[in-house]
Amino acid sequence: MRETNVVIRGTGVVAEHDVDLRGLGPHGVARGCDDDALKAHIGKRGIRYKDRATRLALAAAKLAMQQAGLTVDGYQDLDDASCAVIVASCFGNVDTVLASAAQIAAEGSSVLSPMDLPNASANVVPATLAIWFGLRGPNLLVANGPGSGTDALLFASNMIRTGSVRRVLVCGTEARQPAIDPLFAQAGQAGREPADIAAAVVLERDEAAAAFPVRLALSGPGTPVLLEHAAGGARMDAAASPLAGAPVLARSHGAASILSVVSAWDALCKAAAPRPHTLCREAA
Amino acid sequence: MKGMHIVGADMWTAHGHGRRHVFDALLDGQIAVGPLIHLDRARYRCQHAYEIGAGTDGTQDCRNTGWLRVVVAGALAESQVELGRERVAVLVGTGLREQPTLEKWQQDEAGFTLDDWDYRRAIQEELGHPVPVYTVVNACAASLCCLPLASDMLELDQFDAVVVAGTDAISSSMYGLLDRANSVPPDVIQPFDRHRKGVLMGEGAAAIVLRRAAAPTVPVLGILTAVVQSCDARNETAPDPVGVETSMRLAHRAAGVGPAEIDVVMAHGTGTQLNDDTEAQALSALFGGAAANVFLSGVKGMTGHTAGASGLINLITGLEILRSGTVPPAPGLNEPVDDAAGFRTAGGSGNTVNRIQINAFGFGGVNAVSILERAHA
Repeated sequence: MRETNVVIRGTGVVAEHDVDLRGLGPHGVARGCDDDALKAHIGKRGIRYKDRATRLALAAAKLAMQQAGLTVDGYQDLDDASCAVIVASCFGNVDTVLASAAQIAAEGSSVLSPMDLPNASANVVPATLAIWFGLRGPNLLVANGPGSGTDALLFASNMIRTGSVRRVLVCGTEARQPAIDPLFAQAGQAGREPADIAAAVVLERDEAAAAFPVRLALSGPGTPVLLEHAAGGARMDAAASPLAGAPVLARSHGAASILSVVSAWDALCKAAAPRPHTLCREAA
Repeated sequence: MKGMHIVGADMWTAHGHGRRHVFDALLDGQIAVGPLIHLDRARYRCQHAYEIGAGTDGTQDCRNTGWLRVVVAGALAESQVELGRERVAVLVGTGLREQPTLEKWQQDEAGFTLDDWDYRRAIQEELGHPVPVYTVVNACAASLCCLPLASDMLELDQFDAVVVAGTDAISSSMYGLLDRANSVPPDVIQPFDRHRKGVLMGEGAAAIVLRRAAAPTVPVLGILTAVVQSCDARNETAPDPVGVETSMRLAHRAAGVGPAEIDVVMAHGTGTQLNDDTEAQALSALFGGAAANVFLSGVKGMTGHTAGASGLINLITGLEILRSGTVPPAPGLNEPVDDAAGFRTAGGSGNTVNRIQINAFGFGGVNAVSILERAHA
């Protein structure tokens, strides 16, 4: 039996304006994470009660799905039972949890807004992505420390390799969480406070490998995340992407590994063709 | 892969610790509800919960991590898995992680560190081995949502054994937001009863150990022949009848069985108006005339809604049903809703139980359904 390969079909990143992404993009990268910028990136009503991590994820996923050629513009119900959604986010809904707890401590549960109920469950992020794109396969939130993104990629790769699903939207998202900044200082991790950042990749079984030239190899837990370009066989370990060592990674937590994969993918595409993103777009 | 063998299992609920201990309490119809202890009652309309260690550990931090350590170690001890020699991973499903302790930290500015936010350090410390630990935060279906991930890992030969666990304690934010959303504060859960008032949170932890195939000398407690997860992709909190029924059909298809071959359904049954109606409607549509021979059971009336742990607690109760041939009673279920009335809802023993369906549904429209079968000697 031929081994199933996993290819990268699309990527997207949303980052704060001044974050150094070491040359990543420009295609598939959206800048600006304030409320207005996020509204503009998402370009759709219905985000009023969404928390920040969810908005960032929606914006990054929109770019990735569009680059993958799965959506033409924005969001549409793909009604796809064979596409999973896996989100990595360590601190996504901490803002809602702590604000609600503080309100209860001060005034009791009667002053809470029922609109916060969905956000009290951290998996509201993958659930929202599933709803906005109509993705009805497995739906998971991984929250496992700095390795969460790699774990999400492993779960996604495993699902595709065993044939459980054909495609996975993998997204890492974090939002600034000032309420817990003291925890980082206390742990000797000042400078690792979460940034506003999200990165998404669409992974897929390689039936259409010719159209999507970069393969992602992740053979098991603890093994490197390797990317290989079909044209010329250039390879890159995601841990050695152009973003390696960049300050943004330390503040990206759940999004870190996925950001590295996008960076490695971007570098391989640029090396393989003078106008790499155009190539990828045409192939899609 | 034809099924995963369960070679170890342990659970802890408001009834206490131990698979057999909890099951005996369930057979006895014990409802482990009481007045709220770990939260300040003056802050909520709702006054009840199914809490662990009531009165004894009110000041202890990281409670759900503590129960998790015990049940993971307990399940592994029974499994005869050799840590250090075999490749072992631990998958933990949870709805709320250590939110209760994080919330207390916000008040007290003590008692919580970043390492407490997932379960890696605690499990590795408990087992004395640097095993990979994965935390999956998937609302009330979390522990059952980990089963397909375990299946993939075993099928791809990445591990020799995978522990799947679940754990949750009551957090102030979730208890308060549910309190805000409930029209009437419930004092007990009455799954599938016409006069049910809603859901009450519970606390618990559970763990099972899975292998592709157990050595002949290791007792197999049960075999999982289907583990599926899907998503409604309709609404953040309300379940979708189509999505729920689809997930059950997917599980039946994966196990290669029809409704007539299911002896017991361990329902999610949270006691909320909409969830129970939706689940009962889907079950009724799927089982049709076969329902008369099927036990409709579940533990939440007695254990409370143990969130991410609840799916595995139902599953391990299923293991005990396979062993004992007896289905626990359903205290509080006096007048079943129409769609549940066609099933056997009172518990008891009957024909040999060979196959059990386990349901777990959660916020986000996440649906996880498993099929558990008797291991034939």
